[in-house]
Amino acid sequence: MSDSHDEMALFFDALEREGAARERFLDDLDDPESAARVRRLLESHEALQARGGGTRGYGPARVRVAADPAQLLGVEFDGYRLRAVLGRGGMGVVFEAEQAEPRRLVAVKTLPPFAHGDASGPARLRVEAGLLARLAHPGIAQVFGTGRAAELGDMPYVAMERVFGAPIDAWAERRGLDVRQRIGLLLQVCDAVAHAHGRGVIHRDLKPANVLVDDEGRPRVLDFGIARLLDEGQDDVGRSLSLQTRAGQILGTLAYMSPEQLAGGSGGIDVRCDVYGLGVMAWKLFTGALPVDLDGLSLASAVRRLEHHEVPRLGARVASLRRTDLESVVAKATERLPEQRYQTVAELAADLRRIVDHQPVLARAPALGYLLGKALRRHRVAAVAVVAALVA
Amino acid sequence: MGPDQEVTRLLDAAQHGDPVAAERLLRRVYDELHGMAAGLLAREAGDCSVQATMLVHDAWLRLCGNEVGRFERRAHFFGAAARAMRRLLVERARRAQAQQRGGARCKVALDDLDAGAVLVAASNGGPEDREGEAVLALHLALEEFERVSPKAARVVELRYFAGLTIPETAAAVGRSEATVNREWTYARAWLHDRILSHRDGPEGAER
Repeated sequence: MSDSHDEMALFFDALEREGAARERFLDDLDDPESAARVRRLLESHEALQARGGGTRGYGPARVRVAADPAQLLGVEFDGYRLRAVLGRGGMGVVFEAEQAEPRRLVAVKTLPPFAHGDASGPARLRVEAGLLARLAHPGIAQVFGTGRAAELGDMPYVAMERVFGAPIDAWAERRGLDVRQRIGLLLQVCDAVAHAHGRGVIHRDLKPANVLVDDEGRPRVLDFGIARLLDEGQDDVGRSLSLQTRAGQILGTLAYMSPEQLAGGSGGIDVRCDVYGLGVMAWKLFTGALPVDLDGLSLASAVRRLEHHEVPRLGARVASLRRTDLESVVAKATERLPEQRYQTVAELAADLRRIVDHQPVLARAPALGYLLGKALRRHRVAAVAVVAALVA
Repeated sequence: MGPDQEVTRLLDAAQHGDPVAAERLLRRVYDELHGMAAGLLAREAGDCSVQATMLVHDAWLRLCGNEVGRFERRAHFFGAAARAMRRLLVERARRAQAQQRGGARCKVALDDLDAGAVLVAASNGGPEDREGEAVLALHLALEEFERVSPKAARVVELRYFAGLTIPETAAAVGRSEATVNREWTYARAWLHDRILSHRDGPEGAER
């Protein structure tokens, strides 16, 4: 190979000349071989220029991630070995893994990495995991532990009980359950959620996909408290990467989100958002449909539609002797304002139980207050007058 | 996140010409990038592509915090990161190729290189394999070019594998922007010619 420095100099000498001058320059070179080389380089250069100017051509590289988490199968960390991909969410992947000690199958869910400069992230995760691990209820998928593994790119993860089963709504359909049996399922779910509430843990993301029913008909609630972990500490890469995928993922679950969650800010979120989620789940369970149709909407317009959306009453969608009672209970669970819902999951469960036991439900009792409340929001001034009239 | 003490020490030693430190630094950055790539796999639902620049800058933030003052250190880091990224991409491409030995080997299409799309995660078939081929082709041509013009080859490495801009590259190699621009222009023409002649050559050899 000829001396490169010379070749580069020749290349630019030739490049600076045009047309005939360039030809003459190249013809005059002593060494015909390097003249030929420079000619080819010039051709290459022009081909590259023609295709998009100076900076395109070679790079800068884009790193393509063919996001197939299956490539991580077989990876071992912290005593777990990844065996299968169970699911892919907008914010992480759920793997089936084998734990060495104790020997069992677990589900490993990856969480978004901590933000830069978030020194308290790992400690927070540990505290949160400790809280979740304290939830011991047959209706709740047990959390075994959390950690961060270099093998997963330092991503935090949660290891939890591997649950086999079908989403509650699909299960009820498949088994052809009647309304009474569906209420029975829902009561078990309420019991599990109430247990967690009693220990200070709110689910925040109750939906059929998070309630799996096993072959014996026992529902298990997954992902307790995970929604909160997801909200916290996302780094920039994660945020920019997950935005689009996440939009697609959450569209289907938006309908289960309480208005206060949709309004943003995890501030005033309390157990009543789970009451709402259970209410929408009941709606789905009794009618087979969602109370609002979000099909084909963009994320933004879905949120807009939900913003002013009132969950419609069940109406004739349910064939049951206790239809009106069921309707009142579901309506009360899905009130827009948290203070008008059941204040606890236990209250919701109690009313559902009354339906099964053929007793009058409380949801219908304070009808006057309920109506007043609605009126109050619609016609504030007029309502004040009504109240005044009542007091007088 | 504060700077990683070990990385800082390695950077300083490597800057002063310690070859062992340089190799250990490279290894450390490699592990970091590798981990980050695994992280992308473990977190994402759909295919996506990230600019190498973003990964490398992220690695810098993770390992060194955002140290503003120490300019040489930063320049040196990006040099190591570019090399680590190259190694990573080449290894992945080789592994992907080994996995599907015997399959029809597609020749490198220049458009693949042109798009600059590079494979991090090995994949099963599809356009990614061609990207893998493209990475290998570039890598091999660059190895040859390193013998011809080591300085210009370095520019390519920084531009392509770490995604540095011309001014950033100039700062990293300590030469003027005009010089770096010339080297980049020449290198591209050289590599383009090299890869073309390999592709069209009688033996059609990729290596």
